Amino acid sequence: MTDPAAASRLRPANPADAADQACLKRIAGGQLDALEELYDRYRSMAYSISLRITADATLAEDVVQDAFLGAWRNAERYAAGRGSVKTWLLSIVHHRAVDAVRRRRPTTELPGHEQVPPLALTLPDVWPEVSAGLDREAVRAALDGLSDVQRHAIELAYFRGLTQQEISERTDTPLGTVKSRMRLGLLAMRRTLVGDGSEVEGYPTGGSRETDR
Amino acid sequence: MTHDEILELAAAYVLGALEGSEEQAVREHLATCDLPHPEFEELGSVVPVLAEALEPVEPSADLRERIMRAAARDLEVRPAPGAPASAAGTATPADAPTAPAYPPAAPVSRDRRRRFWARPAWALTAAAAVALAVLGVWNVRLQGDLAAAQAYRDHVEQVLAIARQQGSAIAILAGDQGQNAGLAAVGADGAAAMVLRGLQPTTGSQVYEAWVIVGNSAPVPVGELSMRDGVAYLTQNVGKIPPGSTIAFTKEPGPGSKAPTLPVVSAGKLAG
Repeated sequence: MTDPAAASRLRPANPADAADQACLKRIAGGQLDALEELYDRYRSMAYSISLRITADATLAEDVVQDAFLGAWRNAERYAAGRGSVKTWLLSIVHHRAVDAVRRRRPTTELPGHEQVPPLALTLPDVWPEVSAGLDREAVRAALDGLSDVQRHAIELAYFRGLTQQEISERTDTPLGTVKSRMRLGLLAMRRTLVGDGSEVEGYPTGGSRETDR
Repeated sequence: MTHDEILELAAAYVLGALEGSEEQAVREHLATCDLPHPEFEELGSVVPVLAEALEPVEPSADLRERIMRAAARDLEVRPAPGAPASAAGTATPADAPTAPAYPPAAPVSRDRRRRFWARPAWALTAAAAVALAVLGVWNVRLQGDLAAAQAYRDHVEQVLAIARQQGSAIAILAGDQGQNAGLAAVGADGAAAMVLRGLQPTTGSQVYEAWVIVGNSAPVPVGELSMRDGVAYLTQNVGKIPPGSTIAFTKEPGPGSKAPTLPVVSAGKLAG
């Protein structure tokens, strides 16, 4: 999809990920201490994501348990080329947390049949991360750099598990506007975090197609 | 959906903000469209860092204990060391004629397992018979199609034959609106039979694929359904499956899918 040079700019070599990958190999081999190691490394991040989305301490812990057991059972399915172990693990947490809150909202259509563990069928694609080394302050600054409406749209989507349709209704904003706020917000964050050089050649990233109305 | 319409959904897709059916449409498009989709990677690359903005919060101390206990229980039912656990995700009926190795199963305590296997066969049969009666009457009345009803009954009889065996489990199958009803049974030896009615006919190379989902593991394909007289069925050894596992069915663009194409058309949980 992207050219390799752009991909490598996006994913600098990362010693922490090499350690995680070794850890995941041991997990795939059924070594419990490796799971404990991975848990200790990411439990607080995993729990903070889950808690933020579910806003329910008990449910949030269930989600984290689910996600780590999912990693334990599917460690061999992790594909190194698609992103870091951390991204993979935290995206499982995110998806399970979103599923958990959507199941409590009967208006939202859930993927698949209710009896099917939805996550098993909708395991996220894992995206290459911008950089493994970004610190909290840099990310917060990038979020703070967005317009209020862009930040709000991204927060409702990512941290509250709302669909774009629900965001449109809740904020009384046309769906097209919600779409462009999310899109332009993400692009602006990307520019702040990695600079303009990372934009994929030959693809118009700005333009009049979707301006923030 | 057109290529441009799919692009419109890119931001919501990478943020996880699409309805299930939209998300599926995007997945299918990305899997089949030959045009490049750099916007998805470009936008998606930002999403993992959003989590970095959160202040880490410690879960309660006993969560570690719960996870490690559940993982340890898992080991009891994992394939023996050296068994190709990784084959579970990639095995297809075509290249894995023997029973597929399943991903580590859902945590089931020894006691619960013993109770399950000890459950008398007549209880299963009674449950299956009730299911047959309900589904059979419902289907015949609804469809009024005698050939289909007969074919359905024949295959339900195969399901019941397995359900009567010691240690078998059955699943009552249905779509989310109660459509595509059916019945499945898996014997203690992994022999399985399943039958469904009311599925839309397939076109071209499309097939209905059966999946087994053990615990929270990814779905494993176990075979394609055969269709006759409007009845879809599958009889084959699918390997040992712990109770509580889910059997689900999807319509796939062709044979040999390694991951299900949503939506799930019918599903049910195996119970003893």
